[in-house]
Amino acid sequence: MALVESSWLIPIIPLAGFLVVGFGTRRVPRLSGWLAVTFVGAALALSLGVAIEYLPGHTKPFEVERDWIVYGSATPQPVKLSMGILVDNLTALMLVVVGVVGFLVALYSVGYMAHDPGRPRYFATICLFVGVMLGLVLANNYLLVFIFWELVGLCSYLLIGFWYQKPSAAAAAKKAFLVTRVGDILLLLGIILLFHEFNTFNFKSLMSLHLEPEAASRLTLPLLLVFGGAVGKSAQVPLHVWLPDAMEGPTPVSALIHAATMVKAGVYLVARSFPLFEQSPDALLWVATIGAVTALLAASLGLVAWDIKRVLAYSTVSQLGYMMLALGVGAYGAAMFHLWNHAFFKALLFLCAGSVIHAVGTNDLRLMGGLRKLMPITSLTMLIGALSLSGIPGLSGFFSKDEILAAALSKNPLLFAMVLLAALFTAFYMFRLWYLAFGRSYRGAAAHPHESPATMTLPLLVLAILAVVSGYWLFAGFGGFINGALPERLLHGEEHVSINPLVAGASILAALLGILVARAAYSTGKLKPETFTAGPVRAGLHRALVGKLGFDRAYYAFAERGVYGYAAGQGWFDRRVVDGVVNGIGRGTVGLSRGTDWTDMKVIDGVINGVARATVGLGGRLKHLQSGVVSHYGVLVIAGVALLLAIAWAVG
Amino acid sequence: MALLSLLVFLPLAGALLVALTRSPRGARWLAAGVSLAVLLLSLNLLAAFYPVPFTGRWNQEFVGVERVPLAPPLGITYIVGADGLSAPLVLLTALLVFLSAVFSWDQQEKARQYFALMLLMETGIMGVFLSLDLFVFFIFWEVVLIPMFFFIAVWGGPRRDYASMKFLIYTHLGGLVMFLGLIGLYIGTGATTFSILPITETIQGQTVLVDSGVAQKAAALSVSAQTLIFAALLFGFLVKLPSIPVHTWLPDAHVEAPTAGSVLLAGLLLKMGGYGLVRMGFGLAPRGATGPVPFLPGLSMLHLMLLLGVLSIVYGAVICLVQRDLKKMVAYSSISHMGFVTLGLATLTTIGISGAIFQMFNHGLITAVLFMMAGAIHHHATTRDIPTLRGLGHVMPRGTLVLGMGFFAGLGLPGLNGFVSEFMVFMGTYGAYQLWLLIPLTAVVATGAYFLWTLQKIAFGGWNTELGKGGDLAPYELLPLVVLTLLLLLFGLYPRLILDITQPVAAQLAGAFAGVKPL
Repeated sequence: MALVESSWLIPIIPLAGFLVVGFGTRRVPRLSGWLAVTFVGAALALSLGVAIEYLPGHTKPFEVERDWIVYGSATPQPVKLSMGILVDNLTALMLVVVGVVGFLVALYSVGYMAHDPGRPRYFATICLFVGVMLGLVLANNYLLVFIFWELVGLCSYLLIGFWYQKPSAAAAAKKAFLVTRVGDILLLLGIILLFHEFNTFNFKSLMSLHLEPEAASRLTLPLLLVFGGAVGKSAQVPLHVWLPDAMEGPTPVSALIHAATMVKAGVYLVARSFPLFEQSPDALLWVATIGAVTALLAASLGLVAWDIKRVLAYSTVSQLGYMMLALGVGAYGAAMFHLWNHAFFKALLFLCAGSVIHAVGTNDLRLMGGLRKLMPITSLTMLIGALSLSGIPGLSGFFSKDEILAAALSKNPLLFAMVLLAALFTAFYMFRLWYLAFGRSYRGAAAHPHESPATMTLPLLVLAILAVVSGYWLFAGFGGFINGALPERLLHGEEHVSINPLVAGASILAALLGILVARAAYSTGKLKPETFTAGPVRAGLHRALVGKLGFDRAYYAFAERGVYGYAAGQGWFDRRVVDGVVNGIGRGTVGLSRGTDWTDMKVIDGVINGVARATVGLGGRLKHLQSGVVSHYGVLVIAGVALLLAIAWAVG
Repeated sequence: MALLSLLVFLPLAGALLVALTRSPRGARWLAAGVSLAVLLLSLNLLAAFYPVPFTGRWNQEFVGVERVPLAPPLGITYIVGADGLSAPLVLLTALLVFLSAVFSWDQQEKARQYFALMLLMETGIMGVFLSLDLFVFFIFWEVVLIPMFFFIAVWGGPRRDYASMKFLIYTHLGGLVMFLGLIGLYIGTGATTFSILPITETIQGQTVLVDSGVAQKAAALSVSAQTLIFAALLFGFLVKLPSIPVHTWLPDAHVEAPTAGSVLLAGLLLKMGGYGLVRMGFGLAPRGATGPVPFLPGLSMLHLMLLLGVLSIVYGAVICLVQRDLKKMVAYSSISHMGFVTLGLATLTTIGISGAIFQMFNHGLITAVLFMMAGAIHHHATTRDIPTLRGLGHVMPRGTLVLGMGFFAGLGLPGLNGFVSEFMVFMGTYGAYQLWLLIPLTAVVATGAYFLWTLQKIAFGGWNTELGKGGDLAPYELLPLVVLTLLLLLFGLYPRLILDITQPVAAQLAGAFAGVKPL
């Protein structure tokens, strides 16, 4: 039996861990961390086993599913919405990324969270996240992806807000959930549209479609909506605003969720849908443009941040932009290769940042410095991560970024120019960060910053090694491997690895320039940082970047003044107008009743009483008629008869 | 065995016995015992619909039908029967009454009357969901109002007089108009019977089953007559649901009602509206559903329902953003969630109708969690004022976990039940009305916003020490809430437990309207 047949267990193991850690370790918080490591480790082991079966590149995809909702008429056939898993090369790649980073982060957290009283809750949520994230990459249809998509969002919410007593953390958690939710409803609409077009959510059925150009044009809208979901999850412009704030969560969470895995879900989804996107040039153009804009914009925002984690967050947004751009220009393999490499070096960078924060007790780069001597392992591993991210040859980031740049150049020189500039910025902000944290001398207030414990440095070393070597898969058939997840028609013979010397030269130059400027400004002091803001134009640019280009302010104004103002108005409307009418009718009715009551008492009763009084009075007077004298009666009888006769005559 | 009659009248017998008890202790034990027995019976009823897993033919028959003529000359008969529409609602009723009884364990003030009224109400609600005779249905419908009125008027908050009166007048007026519609059916079909089945046959047999090639027979009831009847029924049921703009009785009633009253009101009484719409509105005046709205000839009833459903969803969600009282917010969220019922029915697609019925069931569970939590928070933190509450997570960790589950179910998080029914309604909406779907989808963001805002304000941060020491859920509060939250998960993960039962009703209804265009 192939291991892949038990791959449905992969997400189940950490989910079981969630229950065990969440409900079983309240009394023994010490155990929670190692239990979580064990469960995630088991999932990793199984993931690796499955991935190895797919490594040759030609293993048949594995799919199994069960009916989840059955509806429609029994004849001829009801509609079945199914839930199942699909394992192919793309899934295998993602399983390894999620498993490896998840395991290392869990291990690292044992040290990082050692003194936090909320450990059981933390590790339970980590298990939950790893479980649903693995579920997301295993899902065999859009609906199930959407379900896990929301659940990873929930975990992100819970972990950003982990220190719930901190108001900024609570606000950031909410912001992350709501901003991504805007993307989520676009995604939901997109998959509903796809369903109505093709009657299925299933990836394999949808991806095997090859439509006539005319039919393919109807794909554009659903695909753009699906991409909208990816924009939210992968923090692309204009929905990028949540990711920097998400740094309020514990740093290992930032490494796992907000750098290596969850934020890649958007890229993964577009990659998974690539055979559809590929048929819609308009949709691809949007993907490429948004990706390139995001790459450049986020990189420039990273230039001015003082918070060590925010610099890395902007960097993540920017790198996700690179991946989107790659998908948009059709470089599917390059995008996934960058996703693979980035997972390791960015997780490494975040965990290093966490190690630094753990030591100095602040996120502020201005209060660090001189840590190279004090934290040798952290400083060295972070240097490796920074070099890799900056695209220095020999490290993994160089290979994948170079592929993306080459693909962008072949499609559109403008896109190429944008991301080349972004590469320059990347190298600058990375080394600005590194020199500020590790160079010169210590400026902070912590008594004795020291290197972190082994549970933390071990993952750093492992990730540093991965950040160097992961790129060499390129020469061991990564392209062929990842293309194995694409349908036949998209394969163009043997993939051959080539490095475009022009592109490589430009990208190396950009990286070196960025590093040298950063070194001059923040280490050797040959360049004063003030020169960056000298002059009105530069100062204005700087102000705009510090103000995050106004995105946050605009959204806040929209939510606060627009939505909340409208809601307040509607609340007033409901109370005053709708209920006013109701109460008015009520009061009117009561008034009417009072009137009726008055009429009852004064008019009707008045008449009746009057009649009664009159009758009594009349009786009093009439009694005189009863005189007892017979002749009087005789007269009256005659008069009466005469009256009757007169009436009879008149009527008749 | 007369299972359905037991379901209806066992609570009544229980109510009488509870009224005779001497201590609050005896009253609550008896009430819990009787309602538990009813719950077990209702599970027994549900078992009649299994094994459903798809065998090619879904169960479309009424189960457990009993018949006792009451007034033969008038055609009034006591008939009860359950199908895929009523069975889940019967289960919901039995479940919520039992859990409310447990949740009210601490009830000291006039406990005998309290528990007796609770059981009396159960009889009324069961009667509504199970009667297959219009006249008997109406009697039960009115029976429900009385205990609820007293719940608010006797055990209510400071504005209870206003709220209970408003509740009574609104729902009574709705009931009256609905009764006019029922009488219209009785007279219109001329069959001298109030029984639903013969009336359905008379109407459906002659008008709705349109086979291509077969000429349509003359209608037993003209389209205009059906339209008038449908309009009357729709009004009555929309008041109950409630839908914008006849909704303002609901927030007031909830704010004043005691916790169990709110649970039963939102969890069960609102469902009577949705149930009636399917059973009576679409079932008995089908041509009316696609006919024009009186005085607005350009608009069909169905489109009116679409508009009101969408409006309720958005309006209810938006207004939640500005509520200060937690309970009032939950009340408005009910309006928003019940809008999905109206919308789902208006799609006339199988998935939309099935989703609408499932939404009723789900909302019953979710809203029970939310109202119980509002009550527990008021109890332990002495206030329900959202701006005053802070840091509940600190002093009330269990309660906060439950509240979070309820909130996330309410905002439609997949894995919990609310998502499934909302998703189904969305699918149906796109199928029937395409991009109209955008409007309720936007409300999804607003819904997320008000739930998360509230959670941020009341659960996060440090505990507000002005509110005393606070405390976590008592065991009698925890038990019902744990049961409910587990059910949120169960039906979210495996919705077929309910959907396979409701599906035949939805398929039949959608089938009856296949090819019929509004107007």
